[in-house]
Amino acid sequence: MSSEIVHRLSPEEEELAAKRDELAQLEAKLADQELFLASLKAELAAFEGLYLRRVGVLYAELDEWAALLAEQRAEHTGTPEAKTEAAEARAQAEEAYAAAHGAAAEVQPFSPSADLKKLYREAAKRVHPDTATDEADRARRERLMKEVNAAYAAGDEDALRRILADLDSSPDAVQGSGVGADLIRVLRQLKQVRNRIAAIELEVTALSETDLAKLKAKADRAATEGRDLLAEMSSNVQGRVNVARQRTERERVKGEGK
Amino acid sequence: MTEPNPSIALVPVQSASLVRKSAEALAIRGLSELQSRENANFWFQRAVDLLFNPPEELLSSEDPDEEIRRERQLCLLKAVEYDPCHVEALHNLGSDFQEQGDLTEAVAHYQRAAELGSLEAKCSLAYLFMNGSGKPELPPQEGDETCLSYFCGYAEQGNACAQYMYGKCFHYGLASAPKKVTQAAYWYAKAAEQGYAPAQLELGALFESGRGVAQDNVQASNWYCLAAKQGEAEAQYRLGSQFYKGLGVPEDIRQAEYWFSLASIKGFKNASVMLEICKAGVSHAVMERMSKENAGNHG
Repeated sequence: MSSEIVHRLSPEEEELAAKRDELAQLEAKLADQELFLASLKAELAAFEGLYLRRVGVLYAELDEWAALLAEQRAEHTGTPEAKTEAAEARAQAEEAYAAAHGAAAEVQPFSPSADLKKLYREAAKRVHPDTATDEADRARRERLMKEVNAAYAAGDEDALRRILADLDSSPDAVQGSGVGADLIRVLRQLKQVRNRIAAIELEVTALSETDLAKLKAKADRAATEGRDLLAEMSSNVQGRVNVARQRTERERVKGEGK
Repeated sequence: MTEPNPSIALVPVQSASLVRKSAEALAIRGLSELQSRENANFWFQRAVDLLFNPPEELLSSEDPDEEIRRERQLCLLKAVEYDPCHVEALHNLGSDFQEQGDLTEAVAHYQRAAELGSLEAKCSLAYLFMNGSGKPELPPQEGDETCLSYFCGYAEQGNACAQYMYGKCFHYGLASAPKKVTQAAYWYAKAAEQGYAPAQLELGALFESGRGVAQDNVQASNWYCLAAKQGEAEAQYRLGSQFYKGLGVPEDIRQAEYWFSLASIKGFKNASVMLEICKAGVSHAVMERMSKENAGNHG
């Protein structure tokens, strides 16, 4: 306190202090935005998993019956068109199967605890690549940020704690010498952080315009009306699967009868 | 806590992104089918609304019934175009075609709905089959059953439409069922309690005439009322009559007028005559006296 009275801040120092305040505020905002983006991605991935498990598998089954039917027809008629059709149907069925039973289908429901969110926000603030001071620091932070995002998506609080503990033990980047150098660095950081915030906004907009997000929005809206949209969709596709199965079996019996 | 999954890490980048793409394709497929179904529901709802609240411009046309029918069919066809698996629209189209006497089309639509698991459609098919017209091919495993056992099976499972049709077999002695009105009343009541309008109407009529059940005008009016509220034209007419004559309900010429007007919109015979009588404020007692005097004059 007393030093303030004795030592008057130079205009550069005042500017530096103001910019540092601004940077701290923006960093907090950035951490919130990163949290929002990471949550959105994780929610979408979890919804995709749910969708693939409940509806996607039925589409895969539907395509499988369609492929079988096309193959039966190709076998009976032997025309080149029927063969091409069968091959196309088979490719489509394989693709749908791979999608419905792939890694995306294994993503489990996402419900982050308050602790997890707090840890993420803290870690994001500390390791964010856009507050890096030089290229080497930036590369290190980018790697760490990836780890932070992965840990968050997996709901892994321990991993986040470990990352934060490692940060505490590693020496902080060396501060530049002199007020002028510090000011330049802070200004650069400010610009990077602002750019990142703008980029996140764009990414959030783009994500919420994907078909998956639209589907999720519909499902959420239906849920507020007490409806289970995915159940409705799956029962609809199930009905068509039943029809396709009956039809395929009927044609098979007919074919064998000939 | 979470070990990195080695099998995921080993997937080559390109094929992983391919899988991602087709997972998205599945989402797009679901979304577009959802949209189609919403469109289909919109058109189906419109077809339903046409029956309950026909728009003014159709009513003021030369042949409102024909106009409504045509408009309704367009809506249903649109619904089926958007969602070829819209069971209710398919079934409705089937019964519309049946009313028009186009049995081939009726059977085709019923069959499609039946294939999708609609019990109503299966019963409608069986009913057509029973009448000996249209000759639908019932699903092979069910084809050799008699219609009566067909209805019976579904009726016992609790399907309202089948209960109604099963009741109808006993009511009129169809499909080699014995003519047994008590039995009919039993099955009508089962279906009526589930809210099936045609059964409510038949049950009301049995109560009014006292056939198969003890005569009870209060019961009759109640069942007519439930069916009338669902848009059943004959029930609306009969409920109007109950109000007009004060049978089972207090005599109320305004209520009678209301129900006659609804029935006459649907073109139910006699409804427009009764509507005119109500509008003129001629009460039931006056009508009785007038018809007696007429009879006296002629006699």
